[in-house]
Amino acid sequence: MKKRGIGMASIFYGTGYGNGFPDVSSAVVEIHDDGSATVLTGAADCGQGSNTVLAQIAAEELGIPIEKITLISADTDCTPDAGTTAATRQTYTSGNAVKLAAAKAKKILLDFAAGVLAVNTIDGLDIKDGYVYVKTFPQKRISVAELASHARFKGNRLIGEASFTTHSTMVDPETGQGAPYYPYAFATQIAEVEVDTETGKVEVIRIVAAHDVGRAINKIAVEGQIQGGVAQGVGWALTEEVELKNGQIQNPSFTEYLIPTALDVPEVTPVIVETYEETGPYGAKGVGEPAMLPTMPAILNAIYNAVGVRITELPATPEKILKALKEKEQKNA
Amino acid sequence: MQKVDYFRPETIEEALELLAAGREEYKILAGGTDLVLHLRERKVSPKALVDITHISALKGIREEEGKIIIKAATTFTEVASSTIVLEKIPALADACKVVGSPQIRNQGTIGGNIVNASPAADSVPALVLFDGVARLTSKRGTREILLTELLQGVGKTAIEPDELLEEVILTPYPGSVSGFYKLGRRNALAIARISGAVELVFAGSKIAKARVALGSVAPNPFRATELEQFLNGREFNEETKEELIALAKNLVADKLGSRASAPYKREAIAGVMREILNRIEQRRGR
Repeated sequence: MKKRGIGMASIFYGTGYGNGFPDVSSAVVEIHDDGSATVLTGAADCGQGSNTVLAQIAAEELGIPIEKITLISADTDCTPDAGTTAATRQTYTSGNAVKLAAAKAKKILLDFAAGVLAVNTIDGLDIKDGYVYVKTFPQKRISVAELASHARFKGNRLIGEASFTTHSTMVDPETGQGAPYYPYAFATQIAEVEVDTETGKVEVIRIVAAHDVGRAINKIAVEGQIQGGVAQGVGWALTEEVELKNGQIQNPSFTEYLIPTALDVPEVTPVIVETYEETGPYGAKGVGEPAMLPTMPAILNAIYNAVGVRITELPATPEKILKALKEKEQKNA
Repeated sequence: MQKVDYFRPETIEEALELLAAGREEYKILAGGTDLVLHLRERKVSPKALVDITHISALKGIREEEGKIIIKAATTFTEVASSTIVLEKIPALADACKVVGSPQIRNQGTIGGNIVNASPAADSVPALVLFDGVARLTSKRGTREILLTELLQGVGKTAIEPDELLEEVILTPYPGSVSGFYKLGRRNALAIARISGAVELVFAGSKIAKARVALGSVAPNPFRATELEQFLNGREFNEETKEELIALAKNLVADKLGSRASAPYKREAIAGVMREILNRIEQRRGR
């Protein structure tokens, strides 16, 4: 018989390297004569979209359209180190570094603009849509391109470079107490499954995944990360297992180590919960790892809800489920 | 991969010449979805490959006096989308639809699935179900042999090195309804853990004739004659279904004995049989 069940799981997760470990990203931003800008960052985009997000942050900070940003990433020849693409840290840590570097380049440009626009401090100036303007008198403006070329011919270099360090505290090695991470990510996912009580096969029907991401810099990218994380979580819950025998991996290829195929991934409904992370770039924090974490416990809870057995060892294979059902039957008899 | 000669005949006669000349040292290449892996793993090391995919006489599906004839180099995709197969022997369409992935189904062939003689061959239970007969041709002549006799254990067949599997001939019962189900560890790119196919002819509420075949519970897919005998003449109702499932569990337990997979498979066969019967029930109503 096929039985359906619903399960839920919530997580909190410390992002960044944590525990007092050096967690530094560096970036360089240069504004060019034509009003465009180059961002150099060591952040490796493995498909999650950091190139796009970091370009968006630079464009926002500089007040120029994103089309004017050239981003060079993860090239040891020319980009400054931005640590690993790991620990859910690139949007937050490298995002902050790019924002700080852009702000420095912008300040050099505004310092020069103050003279051109005849204001006595740069506090009254800002850049928007590629124009530097006087906040209280917006008609008074000059394009970034014109200003940048003037500034450079006067001997200025419109380059900002910056590093950002994610705050973390080492825990007490004796007691394990402390506050190792900052910031934390929060998420709740709900899974609906269908369990075949005769074959033990679990079909994941649907996952609703609500994630606090601070502020979503790029909603489509956040949704993509949530959907990808859920797919990984499904594999973690149901099929993925490294089989060891005398220290040798018995299933070292994807023909035997089974990850979900497109036909195994359920419908995923991402729900982006926007808070505002004070220390993040424009309020953002990461979502990479948190996306997969609640999926597995939510599925295991849904299995329990469907057929009344607790699977306590991963993955929840059909064999384990049938065995547990049998044990339950014998106990009740 | 080792160096190997490659021939691409365009007629059956050319292929037979090559096979006769090459004897044991030539291998037939069709879809290559099994053979190329075996070459890479050096499980086989032929001197030459005889690629039969450009022989148009080895492709296609036709119906002739109640028999359905499938040429050996017909791909799974072609079989699964054939109107003849979908209407007359839907169990085979079910089976061909769940082979590997779209890429494998576009490449792999019915003939290859038979001669590879895997216990878990997806299409074979459905071919065996319809009394599948293989037509083998060589320069010496032509012979026909039941698939259940052709398959002689894991990776073993009764095919001689100079013989070419030309076609498989299926004889469904007129007016029958059939279905197939495969239980794998995931929904695509999965090796069958248990598979089964059932063909029933109804006379009112009763089952007039029945065929049952199972896969992945013995060295080769086979006909479960005990289950067929049980079904003949029974009412098609819940009681019969439950009894059939109980008998199938015993049969699988017998077949697998003390194998590590036995405790799971002898239970899970119940869900596989139920799914096949559900499919038949849905098709019967149409």
